[in-house]
Amino acid sequence: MTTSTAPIAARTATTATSKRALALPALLFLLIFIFPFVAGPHYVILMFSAMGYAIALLGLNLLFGYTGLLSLGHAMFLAIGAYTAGYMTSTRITNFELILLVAVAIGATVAVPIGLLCIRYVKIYFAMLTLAFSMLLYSFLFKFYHLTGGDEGIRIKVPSLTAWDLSGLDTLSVLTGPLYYYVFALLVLLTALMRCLTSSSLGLQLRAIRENQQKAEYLGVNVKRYRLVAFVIAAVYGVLGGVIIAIPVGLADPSSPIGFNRGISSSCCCSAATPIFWAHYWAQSYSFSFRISSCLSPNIGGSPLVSSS
Amino acid sequence: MLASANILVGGVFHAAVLFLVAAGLQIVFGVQKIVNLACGSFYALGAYFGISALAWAAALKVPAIAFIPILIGSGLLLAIVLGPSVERLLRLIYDRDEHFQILLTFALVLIFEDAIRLIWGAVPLQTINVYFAFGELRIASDLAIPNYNLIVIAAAALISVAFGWMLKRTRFGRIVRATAENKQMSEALCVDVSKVYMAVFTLGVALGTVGGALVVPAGAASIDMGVELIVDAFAVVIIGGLGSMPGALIGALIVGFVRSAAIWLYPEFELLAIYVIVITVLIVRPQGLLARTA
Repeated sequence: MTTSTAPIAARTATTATSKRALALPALLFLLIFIFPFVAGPHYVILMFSAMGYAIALLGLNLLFGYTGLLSLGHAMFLAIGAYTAGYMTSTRITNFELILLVAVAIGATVAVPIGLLCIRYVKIYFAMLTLAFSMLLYSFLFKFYHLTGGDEGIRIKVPSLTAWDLSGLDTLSVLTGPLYYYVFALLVLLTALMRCLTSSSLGLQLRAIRENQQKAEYLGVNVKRYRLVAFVIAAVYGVLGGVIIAIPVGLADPSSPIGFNRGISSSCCCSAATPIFWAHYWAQSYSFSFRISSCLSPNIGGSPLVSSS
Repeated sequence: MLASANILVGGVFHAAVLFLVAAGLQIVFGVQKIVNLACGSFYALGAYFGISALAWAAALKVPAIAFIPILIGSGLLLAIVLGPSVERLLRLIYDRDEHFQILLTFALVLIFEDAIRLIWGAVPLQTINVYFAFGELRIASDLAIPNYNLIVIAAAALISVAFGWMLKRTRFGRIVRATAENKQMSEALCVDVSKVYMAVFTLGVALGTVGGALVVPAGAASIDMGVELIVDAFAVVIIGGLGSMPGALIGALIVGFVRSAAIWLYPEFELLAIYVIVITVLIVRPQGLLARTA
C-alpha cells in the first residue's frame, strides 16, 4: 500500500513545487511588464540595466551555479556587447536585432578560444585566469586609443527595430516604450531558454560535473566539452546583457570590463547563498534591488553606469 | 646603456613593492589556506592613507628625512586597525568552499574601492613633492636614479629580510610555520590557532599597506590600483607557485622587469605583457615555477 501511494504523493509534491516555482517568476515578469505604467521615465530607464544584468547573470549562473566554475571575468563579455553596440551604431547600423546577432557572434568567437584555455582549470586558477583575460581586455580598450577611443570610449546611439517604426519618436519615448518591451520580451525568452537548457540533460551533466568531476567523467560525461559549452552559453548571455545595459547609457567605456563586475559579483555573492534551483530568479530580483539601491545612493551603490548616466 | 640601466632600476623598484604584497598573500595562503583577493585593496588603502599622512606631516613642517618612517608607520597603523577586523569577518568562511572565500574577499575589494571613492574621491591623487625631495643619484651625465627609488628598494629588502628572519628564527615564526604545516597538531600542542591566524593575517595586511604607502610618492593613487595590483600580485604568485616565498621573489622580479621593459620599449604593451605572461604560465606550468609539493 505504502509502496504504491508514495510515488504518487511524491509526484503531486513535485508538481506543486514546480507550480510554485513558476509563480514567482511569473509575478516578477508581471511586475516588470506593468512597471512603465506606474513609474517615472528615470526608473524605467534604470530597468534596462536591471534586465541586462538579469540576462548576464542567467548565463553566469549556468557557469557558476550549475557547473561550479566561478568566473571573475564575466564582465569582459558585457564589455564586448557594449563595444559592439558602440561600433555598429557609430557606423550607422542601428538595427537592434542585427546588433544583437553580431554581438552574439563576436562574443561566441571570443569565448571559444578563451574558454578552451580556462576550462582546463577549476576554482582559484579558473577565477584568476578569467580575471586576467578581462584585465587584458581592459588594458587593450584603454591603451589602443585609435581603435577603441581610449578612456573616452565609444558613443552608442539609440537603435532601431525592424518590426516597429520609431522614426516619429524621441529618444526617451523609444527607450521607455518599444525598446523596453522589446528587451522585456528578450528577458522572458532567454529565461525560458535557460530553463529548458538547465532542465535538459545538459543541465544534469553540468550538475554532475560540479558535484564530482571524476565520477561524471567515469559515467561518460565529456567534462571538457560540457564546461566549454557552459562557458560559451554564459558568454553569449553576457554579451546580450552588455548590449542592453549599454544602450540607455549611450557610452561604452574601458572601465566596463571591471565596472560591470561590480554588479555581477555582488549579485553573484547573493545568489551563491541560495540553492541553484532558485538562483536565477534570485539573480534577477537581486539585480533589481541592486539597481534601486544604487540609484538611491550612486556613490555607495557604486554603479558606474548609474553615476555616469 | 641608458635604457637598460633604467629598465634595471625600474624593474627592481616594481619588484620590491610587488614582493611585499605577494609575500603577504603567500603567508596568508600558507597559514590560513585563504586566497585573499583583498590584498590589492589593502595596498590601495595603504597608498591613500599614506598620502593623507604625508599631507598631515607636511602641514606640521616635518623634515623630509622623516617621510619614509611616516609612510611605513601609517601603513602599520592602518594594518593594526584593519587586519583583526577583516580577519574576524573571514573567520566565517575558513571551513567553507574555496568559492565562498574568493567571493567574500572579492566583495571586500569592491567595498574598499567604494570606501576609497567615498573618502578620497574618484580623482587620482598625488603626494606632496616627496619624490624629488630626496634628490637623485647621478651615475653618468645622462643617467640619474632618483634616490627615492633606492630608498624604497632598500626599505623593502630590509622588511623582507626581517620578515624572513622572523619566520625562520623566532619562536613566533616557528609557531606560524607549525600551524601552516599541521593545524590540528599545533592545536594539540597548545597553540592558540585563532590568535596565530589573527596575527598572520594582520602581518599580511601590513605588508600590503606598507607596500602601497611606499610606492605612492613615485606615482599616483587611483581608484583602480587595487584591482590592477591583485592581478599583478597573482601574476607573481602564479609564476612563482602558490605558497612559495622564493617563488614570490622570482615572480616579483620577472613581473617587475617585464613591466619596466615594456614601459621603455613599447608602452601600449605595459599591462598586456603581464597578463600574457600569467596566461602563458598558467597554460604551460599551472603549479608555478617553484611550487611546493603539497
